[in-house]
Amino acid sequence: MMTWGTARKSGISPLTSPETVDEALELLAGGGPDTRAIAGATWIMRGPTRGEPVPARLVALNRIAELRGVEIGALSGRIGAMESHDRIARALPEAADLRALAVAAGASANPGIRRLATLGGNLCAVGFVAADLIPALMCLDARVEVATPEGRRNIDMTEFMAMRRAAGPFLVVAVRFGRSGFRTAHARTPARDYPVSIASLSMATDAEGRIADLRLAVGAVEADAKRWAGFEDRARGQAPDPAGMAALATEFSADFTPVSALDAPGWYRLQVLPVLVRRAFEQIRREG
Amino acid sequence: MAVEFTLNGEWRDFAGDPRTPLLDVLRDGCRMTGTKSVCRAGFCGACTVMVGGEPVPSCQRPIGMLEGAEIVTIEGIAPPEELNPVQRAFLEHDVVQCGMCFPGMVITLTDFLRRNAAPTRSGIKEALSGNMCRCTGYERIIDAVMSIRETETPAAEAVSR
Repeated sequence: MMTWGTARKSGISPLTSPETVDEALELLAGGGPDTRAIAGATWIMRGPTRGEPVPARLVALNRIAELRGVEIGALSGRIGAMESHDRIARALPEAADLRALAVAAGASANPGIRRLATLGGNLCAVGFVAADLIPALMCLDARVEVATPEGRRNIDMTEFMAMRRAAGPFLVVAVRFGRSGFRTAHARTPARDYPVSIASLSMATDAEGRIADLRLAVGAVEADAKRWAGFEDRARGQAPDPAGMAALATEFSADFTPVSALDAPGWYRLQVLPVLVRRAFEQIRREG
Repeated sequence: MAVEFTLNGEWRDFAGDPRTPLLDVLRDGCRMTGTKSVCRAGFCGACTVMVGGEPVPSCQRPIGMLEGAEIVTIEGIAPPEELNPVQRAFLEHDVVQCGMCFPGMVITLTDFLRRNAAPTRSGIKEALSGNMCRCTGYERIIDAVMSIRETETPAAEAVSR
């Protein structure tokens, strides 16, 4: 059954739909502690199935034009926070450096949820371990434009993952990233629905075919996705051999403290990770 | 303040809590019980309806976000007393078992066929990946969809009613 938070202030609607970022921040700041922003609303609306009531007040972001748009140029890209997974997957051009993001957007959850769930929601849903877009954006070295009552900042993904738990109202406006000659891949299990382990990879090789630069982000294993710095440092300079990279992933798997949940125990998330690393390198080798 | 929307082509309004899921507005407020309430988490697809021309789980849509939206449920997917090609194929192939998943499947597949005039079995499976059949009758469902001739593909106007 649906359970509801209790409205604290009479006369304030439990759901408001501002038309600007500033107006939304004002509503979030003045609404009290049980006020939350909603984008696609898929994390909040299924809260009761987790035993979490729908908050007393919701600030819906769907009427804010600034949060829209997928703009991909030759040198850089920008995706608005209110763009859905489905729209991102359809709007991205076929390009090796964007392949991980396209797969992440197009394979997440199920078709109905992909039409609703947004980039901003994926970034901000603390507690949602299975977010596909976050590791893919880490591979792009994306920066997040965050709006707060004090102003706007562009921060990297690692900083964003720390600040999203901070108290105080904020909104994600968009993400921006540079285009590169990197090849990318996004491997997850299971192939559909919600992943229990994700390896998102981008890589550049030197003239000898060895790894010149590498970003490997892991999702759905720990509570928050993160770059795998130990693996990256060790892999640079090596040949991108899938079996060798899987062995390296096994060697460094103690870098993670996996979470256990109903969908998968922690040991399983970690055990399949080297397989996903191998598949990611195989995809890059296969697709060139 | 009431939320106004169209339901199967007719203007409606809802003056209750704007956080209420569309699913509950349809079933409890409008008595459109063809839309089924099952997982309430967007996993099963039983509550799928068309919102603005796209099939989405109605359990995940707070009604307050749907001001001015065009909503089509299973009751409005075909003209009264008629069946659309998906519904007809399901009957002809005797695929209906317990029936809980079928309204959502019909909505999903009607939209899928509108966009894919020559579907493949794998394409149908992909389209149905968010619609669970607890009776696991998937193969006959796919057989039924594959039997629909291209000329019978549901018309765009029927979907957007």
